[in-house]
Amino acid sequence: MMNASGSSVKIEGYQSFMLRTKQHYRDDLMANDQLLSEPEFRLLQNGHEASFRKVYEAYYGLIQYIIQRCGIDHEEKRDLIQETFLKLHTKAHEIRDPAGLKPWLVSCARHLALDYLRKKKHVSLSTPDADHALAQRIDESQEQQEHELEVRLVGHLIEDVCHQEQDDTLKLFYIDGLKAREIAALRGEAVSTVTTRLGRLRQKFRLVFEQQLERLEKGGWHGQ
Amino acid sequence: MDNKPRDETSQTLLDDADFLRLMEAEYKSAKASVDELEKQRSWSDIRKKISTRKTRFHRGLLLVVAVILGFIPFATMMQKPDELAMKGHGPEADVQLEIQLLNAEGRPVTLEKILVGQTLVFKVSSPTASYIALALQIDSAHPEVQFQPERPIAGQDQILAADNQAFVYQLDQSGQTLKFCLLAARTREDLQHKMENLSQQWPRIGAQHCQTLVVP
Repeated sequence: MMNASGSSVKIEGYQSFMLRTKQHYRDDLMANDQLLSEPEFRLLQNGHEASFRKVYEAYYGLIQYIIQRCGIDHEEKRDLIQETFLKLHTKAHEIRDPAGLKPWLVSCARHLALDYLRKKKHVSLSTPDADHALAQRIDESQEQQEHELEVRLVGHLIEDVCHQEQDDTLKLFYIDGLKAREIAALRGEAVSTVTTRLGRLRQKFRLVFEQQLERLEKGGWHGQ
Repeated sequence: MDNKPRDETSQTLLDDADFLRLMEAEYKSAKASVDELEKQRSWSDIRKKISTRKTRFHRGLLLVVAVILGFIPFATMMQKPDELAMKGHGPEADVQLEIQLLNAEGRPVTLEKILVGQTLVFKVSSPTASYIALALQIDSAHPEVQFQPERPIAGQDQILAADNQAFVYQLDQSGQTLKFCLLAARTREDLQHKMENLSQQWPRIGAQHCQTLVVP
């Protein structure tokens, strides 16, 4: 496409837009939980670039943080960030309202990260000797992958619960990856006893988790 | 991707809502910094990918419509991709070219006032190509093709914004007919293949990527 007239006007507009967005939209994220107005949200769903850009500017940092926190770095991190926003571009029509935008985006990043980690594990497990038992183990690894991510994010809280309750059932289940029946066999208990105890310890975990959020909101840091 | 309600039998410690709350709280608390350069690079990549998807979709749609309406014979569809590309039906990269003529003092002048001693500056950008080269043919009576080295394209808008991304040609002889063409491709290998085959393909290259100037 020959164009001898030049496009400097367009570029200048773009650069001033960039300068304006850098600070403004980051502040917006902190100040207002609902980033887009209803009309802006409809424009986003129709593929409008300005609305899409606004979302990108506001949530890039958060999405990057999440993917990094899931243990993914370097090139893969960049790819997953881009994939998250590309998914938003193609699937924004699936989001019901502006308030659902951030939860959708964060959930998307989480699932893309989990998929990536799962595939990575799948490749490392796939050897020429792979047999049925191995294939079954790969299926089981999907659930295990979610547990591994939870351990990465809140492993220290699981340890706290075990310490407070003087009971390491939660640690055996989530951190060591044992199944309820395996814990039951190890302890010489009924499986139902172990699952009941796991339920009680998960409730305890909820309390510790809420306390952790409260600490973070007050500016403290109790993570990895 | 709605939030799943937590039930009694769920083994998940963090549902989507918990995950969001934790990540936001950590992110705000950590005051993690963002690499602005990386962020803008990533944005350019996203735009490029969106543009490529749209171009592919539209070309695919046009091709289907053209075949249905009989504008393109089915036999054409069966040709090799390279042949199709040369005839303008294939996945040619979308390239924008801006030409500036600078006088001896480096000030821009209109293309109509072209003279020896001036400099041609070719600024290129592309939403779909990753590599680009400029080919110059001087004096079509004794054609000899010169290439300015190929170079990668960072993004659609970045290349125009950066001075060092422009191709430059100094006009040093009068009476010359200059024909120049842009070659663009998604990979360096594809671009080199195009450059190697340019002498045979020169007359067939689509006019939209070529222009001719006569130096008086």
